[in-house]
Amino acid sequence: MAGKLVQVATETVTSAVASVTLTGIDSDDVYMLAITELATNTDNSSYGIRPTVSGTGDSTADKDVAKKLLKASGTFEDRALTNQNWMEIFYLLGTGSSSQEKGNGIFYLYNFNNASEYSFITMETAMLRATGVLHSANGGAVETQAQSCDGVQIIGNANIEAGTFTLYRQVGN
Amino acid sequence: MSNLRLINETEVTSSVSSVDITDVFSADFDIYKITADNIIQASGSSVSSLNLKFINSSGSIISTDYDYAYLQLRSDASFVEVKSTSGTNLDQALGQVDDNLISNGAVLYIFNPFNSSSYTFITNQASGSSGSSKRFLKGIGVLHQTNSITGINISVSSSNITEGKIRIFGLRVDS
Repeated sequence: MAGKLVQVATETVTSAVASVTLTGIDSDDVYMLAITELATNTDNSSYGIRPTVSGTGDSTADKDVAKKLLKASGTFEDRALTNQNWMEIFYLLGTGSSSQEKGNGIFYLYNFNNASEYSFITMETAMLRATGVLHSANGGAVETQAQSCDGVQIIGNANIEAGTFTLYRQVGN
Repeated sequence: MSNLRLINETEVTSSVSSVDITDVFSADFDIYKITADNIIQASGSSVSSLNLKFINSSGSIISTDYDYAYLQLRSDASFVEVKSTSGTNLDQALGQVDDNLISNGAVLYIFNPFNSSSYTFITNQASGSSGSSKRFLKGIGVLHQTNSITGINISVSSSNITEGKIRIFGLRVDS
């Protein structure tokens, strides 16, 4: 089956916001979130995803994360988190001196619409840390609560200064 | 219509040491997906890395300023961390090939190549082999230049490849 990706929602940030919310998940298909050039104004900031319920990010501390941190310099790390209030996707993002410390990533979303299942994501990211070192996360996360979720909220411990956020639905022919 | 648009399909049908795919990145897309499959070497070849370089808008192949990191997952040995902050290419961006018995496949995402104000980032994963050892990798890379990138160069570290198909897609954002 050829399949296709159909855009569901998009938002481009050009001035500081606390979070970005994309909704429109209304089927049991797999969805994909693409993020380009997420920029922060605070060194060592982290950002994550909260599944949304009726358009509002769920801040319950019931998200677990497991990922491998790849680095162009230094030893790779295992990063395991439980009972978080977001699914961490970017860790220690920097502002740096080059203005290129930005986060990029592709995320697949599973079971978000299904009220009987946990919501899972897989992630692959590439970014520059506050130290300027190339850094990534390969792994996944889960919200350990069965509920129907209609989108994602991207939020962090600092504002989002810039970035493009697009949600797609993967469908058959 | 799908937001994932096929831009280029390149097929290797003869023995070559490198493949240039030019004029594929533009202002129409910020994210590109590259797939490579059925990449095969000639019989009796030695294990080779499939490396990636970017081609700028002047048509020049860029051979400096690459950082990369990947975890090589081996079926018969401990996993290996590979990294560099002074690369001349994106090492093994499409994995490894060895001999003509086992083909190779890879998927890469390229972020913001055409934007002359941004570094070009990649994420990549690949499957392949070295002798009887099956090898897989998950990795990342960045070209820390703000050139406008319009194409890619895929090179083989030693023995040539004889077959393979490379597709480049653009991921459309409709505002």
